Amino acid sequence: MTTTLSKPSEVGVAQSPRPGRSGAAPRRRSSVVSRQKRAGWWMIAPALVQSVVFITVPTIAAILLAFTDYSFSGAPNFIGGANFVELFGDIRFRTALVNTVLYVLVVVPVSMAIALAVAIALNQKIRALGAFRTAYYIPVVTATVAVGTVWLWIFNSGSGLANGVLALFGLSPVGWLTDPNHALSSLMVVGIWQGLGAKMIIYLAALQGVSPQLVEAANLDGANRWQVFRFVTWPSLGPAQFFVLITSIVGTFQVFDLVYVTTKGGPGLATNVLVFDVYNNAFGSLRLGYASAETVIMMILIGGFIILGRRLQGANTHD
Amino acid sequence: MKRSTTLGVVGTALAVAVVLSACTSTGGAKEGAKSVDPAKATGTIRVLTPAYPASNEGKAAFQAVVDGFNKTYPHVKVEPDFATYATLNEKISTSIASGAGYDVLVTGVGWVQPFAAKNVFEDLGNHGVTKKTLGEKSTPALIPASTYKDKIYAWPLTADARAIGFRKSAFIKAGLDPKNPPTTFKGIKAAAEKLTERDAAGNITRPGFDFNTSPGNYRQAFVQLLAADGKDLYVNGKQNFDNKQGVETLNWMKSMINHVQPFGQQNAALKPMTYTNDAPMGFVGGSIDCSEAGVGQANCDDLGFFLLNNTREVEMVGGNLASVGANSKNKDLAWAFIKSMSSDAALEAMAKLNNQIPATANAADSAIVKSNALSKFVAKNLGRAIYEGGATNWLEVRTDFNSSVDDVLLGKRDAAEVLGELATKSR
Amino acid sequence: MTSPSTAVQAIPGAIVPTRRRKKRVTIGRVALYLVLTVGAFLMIAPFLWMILTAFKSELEVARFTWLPAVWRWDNFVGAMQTAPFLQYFRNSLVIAVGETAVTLAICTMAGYVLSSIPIRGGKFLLNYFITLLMVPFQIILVPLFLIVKSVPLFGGNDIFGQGGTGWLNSWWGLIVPLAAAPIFTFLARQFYVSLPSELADAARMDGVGEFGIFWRIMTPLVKPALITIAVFQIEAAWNGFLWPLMITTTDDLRPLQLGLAIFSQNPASIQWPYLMAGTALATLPMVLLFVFAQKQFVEGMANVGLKG
Repeated sequence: MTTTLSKPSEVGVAQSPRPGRSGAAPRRRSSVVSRQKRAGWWMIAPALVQSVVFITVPTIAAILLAFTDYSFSGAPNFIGGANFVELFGDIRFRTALVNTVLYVLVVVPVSMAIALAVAIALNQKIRALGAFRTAYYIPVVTATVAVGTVWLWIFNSGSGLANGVLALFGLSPVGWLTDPNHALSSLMVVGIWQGLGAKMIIYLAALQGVSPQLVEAANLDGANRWQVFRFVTWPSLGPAQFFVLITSIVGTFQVFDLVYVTTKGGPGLATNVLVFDVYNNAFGSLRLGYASAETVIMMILIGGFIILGRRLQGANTHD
Repeated sequence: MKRSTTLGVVGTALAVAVVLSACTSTGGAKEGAKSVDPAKATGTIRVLTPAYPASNEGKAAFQAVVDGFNKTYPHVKVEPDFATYATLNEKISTSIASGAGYDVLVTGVGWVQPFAAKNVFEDLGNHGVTKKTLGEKSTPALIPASTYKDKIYAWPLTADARAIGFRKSAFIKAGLDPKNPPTTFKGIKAAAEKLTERDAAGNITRPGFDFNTSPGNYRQAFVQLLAADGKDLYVNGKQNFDNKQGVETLNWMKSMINHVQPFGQQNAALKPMTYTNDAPMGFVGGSIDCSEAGVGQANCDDLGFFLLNNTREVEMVGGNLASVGANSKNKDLAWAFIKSMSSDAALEAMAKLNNQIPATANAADSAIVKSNALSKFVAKNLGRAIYEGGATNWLEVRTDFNSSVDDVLLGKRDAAEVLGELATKSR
Repeated sequence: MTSPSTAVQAIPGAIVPTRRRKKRVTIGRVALYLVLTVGAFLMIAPFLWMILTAFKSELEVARFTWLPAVWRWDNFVGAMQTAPFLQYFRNSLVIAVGETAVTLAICTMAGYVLSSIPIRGGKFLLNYFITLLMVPFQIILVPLFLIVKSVPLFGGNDIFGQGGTGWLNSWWGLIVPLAAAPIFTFLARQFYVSLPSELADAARMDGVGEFGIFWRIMTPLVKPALITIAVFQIEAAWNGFLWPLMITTTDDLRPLQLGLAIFSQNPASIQWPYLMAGTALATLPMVLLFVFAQKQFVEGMANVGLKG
């Protein structure tokens, strides 16, 4: 967290709020600006108050607890960085860290790319558009408890659909969720499937902002599809890209429901991911202090990934 | 930025207050036992229970208990909080942290020692409960599961027993004697090998022995098998698994996995595969629904049951247990309510809702037990009960057990090494 | 957003055309339909399987069958009669509408300020909201519970928030803490940021107040954004489980997902057909909502020509 806060510019806030470009005299303009600012504070105040009371304060409490041994018995004792030292020797945590990073590295780019492709396809004038959009969105609206279970059945090693399909091609069955070498990849597939719809919607809404005149103009000029995409569509998706990237990184880093319903982190530690481990430490082992320390490390990591993601996404989408 | 620093300071102060309130609230004032006329007693008791589903049926069963209780205590209000085992710890931990504790807490076997050690449960000795009185009314088998440092902290309500089931027809077909099923590690393995069916490529098409376990849950099978090899998981709160029997048990499990059943194989309903004849032998629960809505009478008639007996005969037992909250302001009322919960009629209803059997000394007489052969079998053998847990940090060690046992079964780590590591964690 | 104009420069001689391209059946178009159809099928296959399962018997689920031997419509009736589901539906509706109203009011304002008003520390505030996204809910559960229990002057609490139950077991506690999530402030900001500032400047010259600019000029231009936010928020509220479970104890307040947990966490055994039937019914309103909402995306935002 500290990383993000100390380097705000790199997180790419970028476009500074634009000053009015009216040609008014400087004095009048400055009074306009100060009135604007006052109104601004009033308008942002409810969101600030709500977030401070219900998120920031509990988060600070959790960060403080990270330096204690609080485990729901008696008072929390201050133990300095002992939790952090213990974490780095904790095989569960180390495995969760690796698994989560792998999960993020695969799911984020793949699901973003597919979501964008689907959104562009569904932004055209085609038949049954509503039906297609709904189909791609359905995984988002169905509660994970139910779809997680359905995927359990699909991946069932004995009678599941996935092995049924393999059998059609004469392939031998795979322990999709029971083989430690495949379990995480199987969850990645479900993660991509589940997250696609929400990203697609953002892209779809943003694509509406792409000026059709520009596209037509480019077409007239003989630009091919790729050039239209590269020089017209892509640049105007900047703000949407920024949003989708950050929420995807955060969302995949915090993957929990899916693991909770399907594998519970197993087999062994093959699908143990950070939030699941945090949850286990907090409510399974009842070590809230330890779980808080784990969360602090996780948040620093997410911050790092966001910065990295922004760098990779390139300069033209810095908004 | 001034504004945000101010916010930060205020936030920190608030957070400190939160943490402080968390500390002070766990103390709890101890009050002397006052005997109040039940008819005049007033107050509200909050009951946390995962033992009744939050369905209309479950709520009605709970209301019946409340109605019975209100006959004696007409002015006491009972506020149920229907939780599930999946979210029980979240409920308990927030109640501890906020000081808004429950008066009655229903938990499971394995929860008692950790929460007794955290001062969440009250010593039932304050209400006159001794091992003797517990043993007379409830099943003696669950006394160890209710005990911490020689004191009783929970009253057993229902028992969730596990046995081994087998298909008589499959045994006959494989030339095995259904009247005399194998019960030792060696015998079971030999029989399972005979019963396993494979396709031409060597893939197991029908497992010879069903562990009825998803990945990450082989711990329970291990505890049960270890006990059958003569060792309880914990003795007097000390680990008792880092030994020859522990290694032997774990290695036996490893020799079965991917040999007579693929690792983590379960049917789609996550129910014992023997019930539907998808496996000829394996772990089963303590109750079976033989009606057409369940597995059907034909399946039931083909099932036989036995207990593991490598060096001693044991039956794994879990269940629901009731405790009085250590912070309760109405401990006597709470205890009175637990007595209402554990009436024969109430336990019968609870057992039915949980697919369990009443944890009473006369369990064998209850209608739910008589309703199916499996319950009859496990009720008869309640005296051989062993349970999972016993350490104050069991809830913590349990998580490590889950993944470590997997690692051994999948051949990634050595059994002795893993057990040694778990023993260290068990303190 | 200055990029579109650079794009124009990148394509020399851009002229706004009037002619539409003729649509023809090409190989590319067939391929597009094919890929989209296969993809759509993959997306809804688990959902279809869920509905098929809803019609099966317990035994059919255990043994794996493609189609139910008998289509058990009474599974839906049975599932809904297991608990007061009508009430759960109503409660979920109240929570969803409440959270969405709060979110739309608070987050759009905040998002607009973050995108368009040069307040001091604006960058910092945006990063603040982004940082909040990183906090996993599970870890703030316990402190949040304490805060909600300590809301002063509610539920028998004194002015210092002691003595009573605060917002526990109340609509306030269900709605307020989870409404206006930072993700929606962030999303709103990303949509406002793509609007040209000239519009606001012009309105300002005409003497429109700041709130008026936000409310009457800018917000109508981001209608798809508002619908997106509403769809996301309603869906999040509709599927909320852990928080309602923690702070409610009565059926008067408990939402749908807690009702469905009766099937998935039943102590006796998981009731698969009922779980799937109940989930299908619970999902239906969300699917319908989306079917209607998605039409709005077509109508376009920030209409044509604004930034050309």
